[in-house]
Amino acid sequence: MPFFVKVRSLFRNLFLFRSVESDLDEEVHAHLEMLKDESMGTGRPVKEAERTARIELGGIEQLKEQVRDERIGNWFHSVLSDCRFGLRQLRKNLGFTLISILALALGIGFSTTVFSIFYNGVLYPFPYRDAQRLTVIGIVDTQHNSERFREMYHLDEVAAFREQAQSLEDVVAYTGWDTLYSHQGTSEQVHGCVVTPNMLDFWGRAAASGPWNFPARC
Amino acid sequence: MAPEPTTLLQGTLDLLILRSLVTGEMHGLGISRRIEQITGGTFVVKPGSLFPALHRMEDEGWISSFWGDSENNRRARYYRLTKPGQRQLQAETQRWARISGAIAQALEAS
Repeated sequence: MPFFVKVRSLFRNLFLFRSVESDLDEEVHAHLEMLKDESMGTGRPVKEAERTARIELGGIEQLKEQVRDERIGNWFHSVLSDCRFGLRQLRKNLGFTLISILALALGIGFSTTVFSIFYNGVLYPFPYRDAQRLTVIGIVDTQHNSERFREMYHLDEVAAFREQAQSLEDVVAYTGWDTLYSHQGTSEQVHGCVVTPNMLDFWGRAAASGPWNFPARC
Repeated sequence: MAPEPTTLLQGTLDLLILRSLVTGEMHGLGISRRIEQITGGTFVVKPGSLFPALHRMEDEGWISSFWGDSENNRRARYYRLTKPGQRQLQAETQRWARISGAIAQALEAS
C-alpha cells in the first residue's frame, strides 16, 4: 500500500506537475489570506494585518521551493527541467547549435585519429612485417555450442593448417613456457614461449642472438 | 505567561502534525495553531517548516488532502489522517515514548 501511494505521488509530481504547482500556489495564497483574516480579527488595520501575515508566511517563492525540495521525484523533475531548458536553448540558437555539434564531431574524430596514430606509431608500435594482415585462428567445437577456441593443437594439425590453408600465407603456433634458469648459484624464473620454427620468417625479424636452424618439417 | 517558543527536535514535527489531525481534518493554518495549542505554546510551526512536511507526508501516504471552505468561507486545502498515517502515528508515539523515557532516565541518574 505505501509503495503504491509513493508511486502514485511520483507519477503525479512528474506528469501532473502544472496541476500540482497550481494547487501549491493556491494553497500558499489561501494560507496568506487566512493569516491576514486572523490578524484583522485581533483588531489590526488591513495594511498592518497584511504586513504581519507576510512576515509570518515568509517569501512565497522561497516557501514553494522548500515544498518542491521535499517532493518525491524532485531530483528527476529537476534533471528533466534542465534537459528541456538545454534543448530549448539549443533550438533557439540553431546556428550556434550546428557549429557546436560540428566542432564536437570534428574534435572527437580528429582526436581519435591522432591518438590512434600516436598510440600505434609512437607509444606501442607493432614492429613486425605486414602487421595489418595478422589474425588469430582456432578451432571451435560447434557441436557443444562452445564459443571458445580449443586450447591445444597437435603439431600435425598446425602442419595441416599450413599446407591446406588457402586464405592464409603462413601459420605459426606457440605456447607459453616458464622455466627456472640457474646461473652461478642463483635461480630465476624465466617466462618464455615455445614457437614453431617459422616464427622469425613469419614476423619478418632476425634472431637477436644465437642460432635459429631447425628441421623444415613444421 | 506563555512559555518561550522552542525549536522543534528532529523528527518531532511529523509526530505533532499526525497528532493534531487525530481530532479531524484541518487546513495548514489550523494544524499550525492546533500544534501551538496542544504544546501549550512551546512549539510554533512556521509555514516554511509546515508545508514541506505536509507535502512530504502526503507523498508518503500518511495524510491526504482535499479542497474545502474555511471558517471564513475561503477556499482552503484540508488535510486528513489516512490508515497508514494512523499506523505511523502509533509507531512514532512509541518511538518518542522510548526516547523521552530514556532521556528522563538519563537525567535522573546519579
